[in-house]
Amino acid sequence: MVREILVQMTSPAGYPIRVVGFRFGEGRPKVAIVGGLRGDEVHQSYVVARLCAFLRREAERNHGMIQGEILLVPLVNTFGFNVGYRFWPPDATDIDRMFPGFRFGETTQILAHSLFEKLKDADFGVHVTSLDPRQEHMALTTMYRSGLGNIEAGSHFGTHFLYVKDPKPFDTGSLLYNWQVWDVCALGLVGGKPSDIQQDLALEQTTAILRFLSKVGVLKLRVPERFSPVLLEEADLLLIRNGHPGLFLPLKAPGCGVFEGETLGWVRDTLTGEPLEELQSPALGTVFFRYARPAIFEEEVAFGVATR
Amino acid sequence: MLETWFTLNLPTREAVALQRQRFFPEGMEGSFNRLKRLSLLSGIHGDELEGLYVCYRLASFLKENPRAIRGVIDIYPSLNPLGVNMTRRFVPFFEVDLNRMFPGDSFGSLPEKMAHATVHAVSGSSIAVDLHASNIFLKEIPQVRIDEGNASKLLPLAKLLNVDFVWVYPSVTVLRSTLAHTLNAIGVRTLVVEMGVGLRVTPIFGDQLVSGLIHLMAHEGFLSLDSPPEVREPIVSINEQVYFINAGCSGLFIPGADHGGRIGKEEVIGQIVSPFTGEGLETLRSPADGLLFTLRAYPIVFEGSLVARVCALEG
Repeated sequence: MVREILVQMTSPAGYPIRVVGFRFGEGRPKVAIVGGLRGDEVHQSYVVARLCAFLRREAERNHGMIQGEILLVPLVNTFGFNVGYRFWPPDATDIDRMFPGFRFGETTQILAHSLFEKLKDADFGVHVTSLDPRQEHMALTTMYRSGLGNIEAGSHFGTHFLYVKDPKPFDTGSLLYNWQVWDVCALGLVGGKPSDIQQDLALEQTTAILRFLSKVGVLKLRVPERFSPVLLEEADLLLIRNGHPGLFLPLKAPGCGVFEGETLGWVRDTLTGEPLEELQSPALGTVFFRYARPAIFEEEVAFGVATR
Repeated sequence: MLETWFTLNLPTREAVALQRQRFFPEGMEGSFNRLKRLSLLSGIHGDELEGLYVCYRLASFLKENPRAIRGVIDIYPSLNPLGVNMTRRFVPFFEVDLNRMFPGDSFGSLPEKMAHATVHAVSGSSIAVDLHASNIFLKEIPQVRIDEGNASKLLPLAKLLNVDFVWVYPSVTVLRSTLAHTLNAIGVRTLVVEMGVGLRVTPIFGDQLVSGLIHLMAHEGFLSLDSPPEVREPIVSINEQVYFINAGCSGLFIPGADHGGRIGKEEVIGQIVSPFTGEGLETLRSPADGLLFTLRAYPIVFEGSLVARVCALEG
């Protein structure tokens, strides 16, 4: 394992801000795995860090295990992470909306440019991320519709669902989108919620990445099979909204199978504690995500249920 | 007449009313649809307060001159009231930029609902003015920004506003999710004004713009005045003439030129220094003879931070 400083800048207060990468092996295929583009994606960063620990230990005792190159970047927005903030703290820009970056641009454009220079020649790119900071997801693989040629690679993770997204205008600055523009087979691994580590889920996701690395031929390791993923689109999701604002008390966790009419959670009055609303599943399906905060505004999307 | 056009129901079941002040000709209550309408919009970013001063000054003028009013004039001081109350640029709790949510969605998240309600409330106006105050980092001279796709219909209007500068920028850089883009697309001629700096009020800029707004309203038939204020002729720029000057290193920026003044090519805009070593780290110079219309107000810079914009001028 080689530890590398991929990006470095000096802060006005004098200390350096660095993006660190860990490189295992060399040659092709080359896989880049990135977490923590947001400072609050602690769980997502942890998934990549655990992978780093596993690979370092295993590679020491099994020299032929890595047949190609794996570049791990557990955390990009180190500044945000250290101060508990999702975006780049000085100007609140989202690094995952800055790709491919610009050498002569603003701070996060420069950062994205310097990082992307190290990532764009990969054969496979995996971004461990969150879809919405206010939602908690089950483990799933994501890809843009324009990258549909990569469905086979996407299924290698063995997650329950492979979620195909249509890019929105603001997605064109994301790492995943730009990898795809540079002909990298780009896949997202989503799960959990920001600012919280879920150990079991993290190990499930780390194992999913090992399964992927094994199947694309960069890792000689037998990883137990899991799902043959179900292809899912936005239209396959039923969104359950709450009518009342208040305290959100979920009963069902992401990944749970639910029947039609099953209670998913409750909204209670913030001050009196009285129940205001029971939220039910409108169909037989799987809880794909749920709202992840205790306070909820009216007509929020409280649950998403996948029906495929 | 104070009107509520949207209500935010908070998790504590408290309600925040989003309000506008409506001015109209005496005796015309109930006949608003027969009158043309102008909307003055402010506070979409909670850290931009210059517009609130302009709203105050204009509302005060209209109250003192009710008989001059010939159309409907709506004043929206605070489109993002939670942000204004918390001195936060974005919509608190959701941490999203309200001015990247348009046209909004009545079934979406709260910021999407706010955006949708704003468009619904303002649509039907013939003119809108969206007041911005840069951010906490940069200070701007009073200016109007127009994308070149709308220049033919907006430039004549912009010249009435008594601003120093009109920046016409290429359509390729237009942000389609902004309020101004959405309103222009549905036929509301919308001008974006930038002036001053975030979290502060600069009365001299605000008063300058209020004169322009009164002039524009008189010119467009919203006010009948014997002698509307005179306005200045702005410098009009196309994007090729605008230079961006970014910091090459991190440190403390000390300005060395006057904001809003003329600057010569190679003249010093400012210096980035190190408080640790006592050394100058970088001297930033103007790339052209021109107008220094944007200047860094917040002294801390990171590598890449925007420090200034210069509009090149001939002669």
